[in-house]
Amino acid sequence: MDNWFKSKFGNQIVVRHVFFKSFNKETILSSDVVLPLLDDKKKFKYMAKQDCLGLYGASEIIKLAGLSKLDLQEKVGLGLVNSYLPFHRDDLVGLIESSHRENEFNIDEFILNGIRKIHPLTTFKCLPNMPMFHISVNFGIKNSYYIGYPNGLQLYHALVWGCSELQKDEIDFVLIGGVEDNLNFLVEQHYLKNKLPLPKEDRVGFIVLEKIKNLNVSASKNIFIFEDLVCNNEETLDSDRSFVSANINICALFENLLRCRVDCKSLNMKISDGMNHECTMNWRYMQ
Amino acid sequence: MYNELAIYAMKNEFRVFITGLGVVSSLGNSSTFGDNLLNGNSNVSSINLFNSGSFPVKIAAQCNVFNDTIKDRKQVLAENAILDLFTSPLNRGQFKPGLFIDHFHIGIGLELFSLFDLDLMRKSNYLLPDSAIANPHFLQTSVDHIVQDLVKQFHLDYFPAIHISACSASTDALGSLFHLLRAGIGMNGIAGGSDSMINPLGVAGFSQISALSTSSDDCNKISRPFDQNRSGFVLGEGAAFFVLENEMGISQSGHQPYCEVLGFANCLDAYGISEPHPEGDGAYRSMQKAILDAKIKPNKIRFINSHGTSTIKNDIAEAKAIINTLSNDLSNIYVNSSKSMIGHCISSSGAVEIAGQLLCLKKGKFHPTINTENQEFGWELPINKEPVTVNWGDIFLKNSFAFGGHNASIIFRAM
Repeated sequence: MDNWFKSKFGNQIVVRHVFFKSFNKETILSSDVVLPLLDDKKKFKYMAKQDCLGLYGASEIIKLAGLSKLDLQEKVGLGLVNSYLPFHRDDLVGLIESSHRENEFNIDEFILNGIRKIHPLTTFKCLPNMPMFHISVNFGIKNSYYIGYPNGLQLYHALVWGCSELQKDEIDFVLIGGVEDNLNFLVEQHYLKNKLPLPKEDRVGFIVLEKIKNLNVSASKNIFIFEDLVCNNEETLDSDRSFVSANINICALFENLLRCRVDCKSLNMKISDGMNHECTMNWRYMQ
Repeated sequence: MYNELAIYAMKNEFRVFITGLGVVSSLGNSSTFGDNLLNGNSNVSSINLFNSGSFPVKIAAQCNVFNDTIKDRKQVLAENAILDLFTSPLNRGQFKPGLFIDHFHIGIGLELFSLFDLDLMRKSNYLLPDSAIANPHFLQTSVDHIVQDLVKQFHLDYFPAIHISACSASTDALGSLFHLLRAGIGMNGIAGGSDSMINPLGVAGFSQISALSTSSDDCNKISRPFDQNRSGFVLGEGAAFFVLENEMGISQSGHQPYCEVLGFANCLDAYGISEPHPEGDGAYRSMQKAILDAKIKPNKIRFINSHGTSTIKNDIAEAKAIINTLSNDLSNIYVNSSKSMIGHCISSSGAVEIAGQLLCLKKGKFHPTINTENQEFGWELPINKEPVTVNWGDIFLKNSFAFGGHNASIIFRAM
């Protein structure tokens, strides 16, 4: 099916490098992995789990792509989509328990005692733009950016932005990432309210978008060509392709691109926001 | 739909125009906002959205709209701005629910959990009560639910782009849509933002990092952008939405433009978590990139609507960046700050301030800044204290900078 997006960007944008990793309660991302990535170790105190996931994922994709400091400073744009805003149960319980007077919530108690139970650095740890800050400051990425949240469909917009940035010929690489700090009290409330199964993993993934015209012959193997990306499209099934319906997961794209590379298969993937909106994307694998 | 758009996409670049706007601010909607800015009015007062008795900060610039205790304030404000878009005489009734658009970009504040809902959870040992599962507003109204409700008001069958770059978010929303339409990806779209942090958690959070002024002596004189006697910013709130159309869109709709969008750029500071680069490096690069994107020379800019927060961290860095961008030639330029009158609307600040500026442009004027009396020595900007006449074709630049090192600049041509 022809469509406007395909007409504008189709077959010009490729992905050579993909990174995806998930962590469950037993395999949590260790500070030993994150601390060496920091320019200033003292800044670790500002970092929440979502920031650590984002920084770790960015470091892995930068290594895979072999991007130099100069590349990162001058030739790289950064697009990031984060999951729901995380907030720890203990912080919330401390806040609310200390905001009561005679067993009733009291606004004066909240400001005099409750708010003081939340560590002042919590402000820096629950903002969804903070993973992008930690990536930019530790890798010196200073160019254009796109940051959205909280579900997989925002990845559609990030990909459109990334392709559009490359078309302007001002930068050569766009890192597109997803960060899901799922194992969190407040995030879990969203899933419960939306009657979705609770996620069992934190997830992070990244790809590097590049223009096919910038690749030499040897680099043009084992890649995915971004064929098209269509919102509200009819389902297109092709037996040669791996078809995936990703629901609201942000990182499903990265996970499935990795799997398709192992299987040497193209990917036809549908993402939804859980609210009757969806988009379909097609990635053609080239050996 | 898609095949038609494919034809338009064959051309490289299209001119893009703002053809409609709706706004709600502490100085009113599109009928009153512009006049109030031009008259130097301010509406900062004691906080009445909640009992701020024990709070160190007791003032804010609040919108005079119904305070719905069920809906999130961001949603209430956005709905008022959308209503203004549909009903404002300035838009000549040309925008109605069901208006077909190709894109919807919104910059919006964070979801914040309700303290009162949290108190209800306390009674169920901090587990989600059964009654809450059916209530999307319980505990926290997530941004995707708010936006989904807005989408229904526009009668769209679409999922919007949700920008979360803090105080740059709504400028980023507008700029992203501009770039898509300029590239011929679609013909029209809606962009804007909505935010209110005037709630117990928002005020307490900003107070904890000492960003807000704790003064309450003369409310309307507290927000003092670029003034040595500043004491922090004043929280504001508001929402604004714009209809953007490219040449192909306008040729079909016949809508009259407010202005032309010429260029946009954003960039990352990669410097401090809560402070900008002290020399304004990120702000400078953002303006430089926007000027390049607009394909103009810096000396063509006649007006700058600054980010101008009335904080020492922003104001000096922004002043340095503006002076560097203009190569020290300030002879043909005026700078203002809307926040001197409407406070800081956080994620929606860019959209609300652009709306105010466009309403003043409609009257052929660039609005003044109030309360700026003694600027930093060596970094003085040409800040106008009275309205300045704007001519057809004059170019103005808008800055928005954010916590976390996001910088966005957008450039318009008056029409």
